[in-house]
Amino acid sequence: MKVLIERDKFLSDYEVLEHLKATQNPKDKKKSKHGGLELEIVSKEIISFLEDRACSQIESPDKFKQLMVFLNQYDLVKIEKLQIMNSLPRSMVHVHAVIEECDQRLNEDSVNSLIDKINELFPLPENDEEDQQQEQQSQ
Amino acid sequence: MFILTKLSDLIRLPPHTFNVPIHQALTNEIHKKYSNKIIHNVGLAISIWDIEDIKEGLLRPGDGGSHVEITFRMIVWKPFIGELLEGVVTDCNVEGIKVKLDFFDEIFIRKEMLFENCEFKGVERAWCWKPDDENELFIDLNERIRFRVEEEAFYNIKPRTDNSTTRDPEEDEAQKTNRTPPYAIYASCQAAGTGCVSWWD
Repeated sequence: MKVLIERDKFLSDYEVLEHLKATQNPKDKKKSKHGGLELEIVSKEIISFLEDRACSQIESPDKFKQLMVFLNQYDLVKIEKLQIMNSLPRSMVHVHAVIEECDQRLNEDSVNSLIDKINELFPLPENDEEDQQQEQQSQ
Repeated sequence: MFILTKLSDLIRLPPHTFNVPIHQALTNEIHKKYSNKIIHNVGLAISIWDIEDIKEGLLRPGDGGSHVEITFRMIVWKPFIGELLEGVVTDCNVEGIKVKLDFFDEIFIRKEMLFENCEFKGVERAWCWKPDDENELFIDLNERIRFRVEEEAFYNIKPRTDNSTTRDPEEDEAQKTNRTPPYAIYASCQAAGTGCVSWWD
């Protein structure tokens, strides 16, 4: 075995999830079993791991693109954009943890508009309940 | 973080796969060889992404199989230094915290890498962070925790020698649990946003 290029491309969680789901297609069940037990185990674990994470909230490649275009207006490094795509941060602390020296590079408004954009494109199902709770608390 | 790694390898196709289309046969053999295994100094191999080049098959005297040189790209899981990840706490001890992901168990947060004012409570078997004098935040077992990757360590495991099978099975079992993992990740929990996920929501 020879490693030709160690890091040829980065993949987003979403791409990996779609790829693994496609290879686990029930139509090809007979075919996929020939890949051996280890493949079955690892793809099952990765799928369950990814479905638990933010990338499962992405419904279509189109919405993925929309957020990516939106991110391009900021001065972010590729890897930071990728981390945002993977984790879809919805709180201030989370954005600051993902982006290095966030307070110097982005002002508060752009962080807020980023969170708003994520909430707009990928609404959380239990969002309503939380809002209601917050409203009740404020009342 | 998942990456694509370009590899080339000489794969043996056993004779009974000669009736299968070569792409399919090679993909199956590569999955058997690489899936769920650590590639030294690269990361955890998962599944094939695409095949770039297949050379002519070679024959070896005395072997019915065909040996094919192939260039392909593999999905590999390899977090970069500084990446933020979420996992589940599986063990707490005086040394630090052990975290696992669904598919990867060897993540350690050493005690020096935890927040300041962190203390190990022996009775609860949990680490406790005191952001101020009044509050005590516990990092319990099975809690979701967010951490930053600081260091990765690869350990080259040598192939097992033949006489190992004759050894005492108990000893073998003990070795299995104590051995150095082929790929381990050391992480930290020191900045805002890391630590238990529930603290920051």
